Amino acid sequence: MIVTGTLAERLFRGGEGGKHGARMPMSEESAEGAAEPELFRFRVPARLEYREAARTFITYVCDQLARNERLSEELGHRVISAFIEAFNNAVIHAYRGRQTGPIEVELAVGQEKLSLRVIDEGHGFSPDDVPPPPLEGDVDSLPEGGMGLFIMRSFMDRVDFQQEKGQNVLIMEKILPKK
Amino acid sequence: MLDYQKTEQSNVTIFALKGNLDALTAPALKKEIEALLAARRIQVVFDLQALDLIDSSGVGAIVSLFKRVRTLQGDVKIARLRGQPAEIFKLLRLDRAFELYDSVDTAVSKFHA
Repeated sequence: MIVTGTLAERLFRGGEGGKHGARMPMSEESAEGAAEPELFRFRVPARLEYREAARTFITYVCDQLARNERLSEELGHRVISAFIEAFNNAVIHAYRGRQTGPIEVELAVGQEKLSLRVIDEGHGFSPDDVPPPPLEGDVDSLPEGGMGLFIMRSFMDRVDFQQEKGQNVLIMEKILPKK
Repeated sequence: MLDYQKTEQSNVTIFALKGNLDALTAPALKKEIEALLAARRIQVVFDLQALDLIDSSGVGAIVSLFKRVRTLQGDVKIARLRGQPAEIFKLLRLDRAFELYDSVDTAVSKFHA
């Protein structure tokens, strides 16, 4: 049997999967809207070069969603932008002054939303203490830093921070447009 | 991964960036920028057609250069912005701060207008 679609393509297509006999169990459930989100998880050392591995996969997922008209190219760019900033923050800030630990990235794709969780075991921080960058001023006041959180909050529909069991959990969600 | 080509055209320095300008690669670009400023090259065009991705660190590098050349009466112009970097420029309102052009030649010609 030749499977023309990729695994992810079939998973994300929802109810119309299985055209070539490659139907996933989820596809039938998806038609009822009751499917559990598909979950992908990475655990990598907190180094910037590993971000690209996770980013490449998330880009692939966004591309598949775009192909199935579930996410526009523009929204895909926004998800990627938010993810990059989240990962950077974990690498640059969470483990500052201490031995580098792991970063976990979880991506869950459901029928209604795409959820990203970026988890580190470093220093926590208080997002409310981070002021938004100045964006209305002249050239001299253009921001050179402090934009990461602003990018995440602007580009995602939900951004939350939680601390649990010694871990810092950043949760971001993007609502998937209805077909 | 970031590749860049630096060329000179009509006394304007053109940086063609390819790949990712981010926390990992921005430091290398900053070194180039230091060399540029040391040589008083203050008319700069960034050709971003092949730039796939930018993050806040990458934005910081370009904004830093922009501010410094402006104090020296120079300018930074942006050509062929697209894709994810265009989304970031729009969000951070950099599309208002920088002059944006559809072609490198047009951007270069604006220095001599």
